[in-house]
Amino acid sequence: MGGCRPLIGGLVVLVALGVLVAPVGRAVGQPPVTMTYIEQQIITAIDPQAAVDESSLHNAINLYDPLLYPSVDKRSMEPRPHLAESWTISPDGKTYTFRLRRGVRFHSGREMTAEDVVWSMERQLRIKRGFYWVWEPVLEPGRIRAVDRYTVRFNLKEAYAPFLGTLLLFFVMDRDLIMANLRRPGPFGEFGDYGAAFLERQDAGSGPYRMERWERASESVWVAFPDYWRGWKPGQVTRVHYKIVPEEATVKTLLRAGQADMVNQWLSPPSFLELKQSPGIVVREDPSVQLFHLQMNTKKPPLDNVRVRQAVASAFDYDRAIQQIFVGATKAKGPVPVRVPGWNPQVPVFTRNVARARQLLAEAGVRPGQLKLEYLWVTSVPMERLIGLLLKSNLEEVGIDVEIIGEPWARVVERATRPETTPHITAIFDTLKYPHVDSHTYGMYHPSCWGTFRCMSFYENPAATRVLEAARRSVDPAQQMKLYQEAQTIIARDAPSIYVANPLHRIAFRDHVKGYVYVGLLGFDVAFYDFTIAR
Amino acid sequence: MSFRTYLLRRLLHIVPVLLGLSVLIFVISRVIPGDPVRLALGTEATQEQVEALRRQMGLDRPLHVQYLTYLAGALRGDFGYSLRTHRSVSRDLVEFLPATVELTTVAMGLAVALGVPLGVLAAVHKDGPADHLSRLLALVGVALPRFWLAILLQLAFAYHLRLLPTIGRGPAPPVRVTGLYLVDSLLAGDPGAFLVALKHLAMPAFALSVGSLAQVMRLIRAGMIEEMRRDYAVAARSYGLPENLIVFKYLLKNAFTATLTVIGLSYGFLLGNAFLVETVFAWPGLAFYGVDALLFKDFNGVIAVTLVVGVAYAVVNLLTDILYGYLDPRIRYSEG
Repeated sequence: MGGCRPLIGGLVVLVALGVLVAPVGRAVGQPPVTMTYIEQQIITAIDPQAAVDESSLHNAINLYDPLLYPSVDKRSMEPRPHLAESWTISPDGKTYTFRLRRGVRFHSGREMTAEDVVWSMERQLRIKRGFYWVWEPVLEPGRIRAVDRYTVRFNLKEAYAPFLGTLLLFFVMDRDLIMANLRRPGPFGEFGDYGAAFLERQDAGSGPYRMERWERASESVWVAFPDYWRGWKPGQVTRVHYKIVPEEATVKTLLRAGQADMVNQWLSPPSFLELKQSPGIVVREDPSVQLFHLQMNTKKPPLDNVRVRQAVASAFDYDRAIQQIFVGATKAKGPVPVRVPGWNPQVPVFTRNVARARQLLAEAGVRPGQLKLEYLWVTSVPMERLIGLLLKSNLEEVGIDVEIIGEPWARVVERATRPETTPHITAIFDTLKYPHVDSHTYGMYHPSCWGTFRCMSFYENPAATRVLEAARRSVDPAQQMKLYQEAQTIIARDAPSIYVANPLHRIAFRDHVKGYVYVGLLGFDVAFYDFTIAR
Repeated sequence: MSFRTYLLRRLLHIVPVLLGLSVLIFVISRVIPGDPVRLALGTEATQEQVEALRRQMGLDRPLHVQYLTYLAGALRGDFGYSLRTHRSVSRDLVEFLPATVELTTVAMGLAVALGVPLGVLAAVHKDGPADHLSRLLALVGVALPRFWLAILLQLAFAYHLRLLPTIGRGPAPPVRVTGLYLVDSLLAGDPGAFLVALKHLAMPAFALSVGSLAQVMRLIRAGMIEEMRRDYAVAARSYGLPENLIVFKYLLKNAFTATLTVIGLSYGFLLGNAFLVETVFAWPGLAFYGVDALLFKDFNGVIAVTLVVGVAYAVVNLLTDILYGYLDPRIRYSEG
């Protein structure tokens, strides 16, 4: 008899699942619309507050709702109302009051309230995971308050220009469900494990999909949540098979064979070119909000001399880099990617000028053959090695030797922690972290960021620091942008990096997938709710 | 020495081996460059975040204390927290190990089931067409990179002929008992699920088995040819015993002894090196997990996978020794 129990248990679970799944079809009023998406990276965490990579963000964006959302309908990354339907900001820029949408239901069936928002942000601040670092400068537990059932207030320590934009990354969780499933004891005192173990098994969100199954290294299955507050229309995807397939050749085979409807952005450019020529496959190419640059360690001689840095930046062959290595990319103009609102079109831009480079080196007192610089590239990104070879040949012309060294990403991150361990020049891809120009200015060139891969230049200019701080504290949007643009000019003139390219973002899908929009923010282009299938 | 004493001694040999392995891999995983905590938290993490997680994981304590804590946990089946998967490594092992065990076992089964008869055939028809063909197959089997063969198989059988599934293990059987889909589907009495699992296994298992198959085939051939020249074989023939009886009952049993060592070693090797095949077929196995852990310097994951592969090597070699004893009783009694 005992042997039958697991079988009976399994049947009960299946029947229960059937009951839960059944309303989806009724709510949508159509047969299920299935879509298979292929990702090459595993989903490392399904807890949205621990998400740091693209696949984990996909999970968060589809199973949970952030407080605000990018304006996908306007093809813009500007924050628009979502769980919060309106907001006000105090004149000093420190108090944000959000009016929440009524009738938003979590997958448990309970209505979302201001208490859930308060609890979710406090959890984020206490567990110190995921995007905690974007709120850490201005928020701490106790600074978020539920004014009434549908109003929540954030009291910031100081005005924080990118605050609204960061709320696109703040996912609201079902407080009651998680609190009922805490594991005690745990590292968070009365909160035990803060639901970490529970969130390994299921979601606690209000997003368009709820998790049906998750096999960490192979597949995650999401089904439409019938009571989703934005409602459902015919043709929308109601069942998602999110598969993990690491091998590029296999990914292409699956898309060509029609066993996948969309594949991720991590394929190599030749593979995208190959797919472009396959019938029934669309390859979308959009200018990205990514910056590829060669960070120069301004604390390490001889790059502590601005003339040497300017000389290196003047010797580099930007056109060849774009034409031969970053095919289709836009030449970077300063630290901010050109499609980010707030980018300064007047920013000083270095172009290849060997004579000028030689002159700058002479002014710096550097003789040909005197210098040797270390160039570091990430071994998993072969393109960076090609850039290193180009840099080496360019700098040879002005008498500088370059030693090219490849290291795994884990080692690069470790070397970035101190100026002494950071090499002279490091190749870095840096994508916009939140939809604000602050990400690629304050986030990369204010001394508070030193120690991370984003700040391997260890840039320090009191004038730039002052302007960046004033920009963050500014409450007038026009003044704010003026200050951020001024900071870009100061930074670019000091040449803490060789700004090479804003690469293309590519993604491939079958031509029956409609509704794909790329707004630039990591993960938000793969929101399955936006897709319809027209087979 | 009795068989029980022999077995006990072999089991005791495993303990210092695993202990040594654990010290070695623990120290290596801690000293190799790279900061896994920073990687796990996201590369923009603040120093405060990094320090908080270090404290939580006990990484701020002296190395020997960390090791002893780890060892005590490992003995209870707790291999620590994975910085990559953000959960206990023991849970990862439970999820990923059965997939690789199933794949490797079926691959070795294929290698033996095909390699032995082909080896016998080559030996019996030495220098004939069958022998030449087997030599060619062995050469191709050893020389062909597994991942390339895997992609070719995928293109042929999944993309063009559409006979087999392209990736994965297929749907899990309704009841999980062992995590081995073939076994669980049989236990559930579901032949349909068994067939589906078998279809998913066919290509990856074959791609993984080819190298071992070639080795087994060549070793059996060489062993058989050597045995054929021995006096007892000549005597058996002169007595007029049927050829099949001589080949399969006497020659093969003796020729198989040498091959057994290779089979044992191959099993352990495949268990830890199925990575490329697992990657091509998106097979959620331990080798894939181990390499991912290595790339992200998830040291608890790396140590656990190394120990599991170490245990597998030890156990398979123990079984090989026991089988040796069965095939050749002189071995178990001659050990001093």
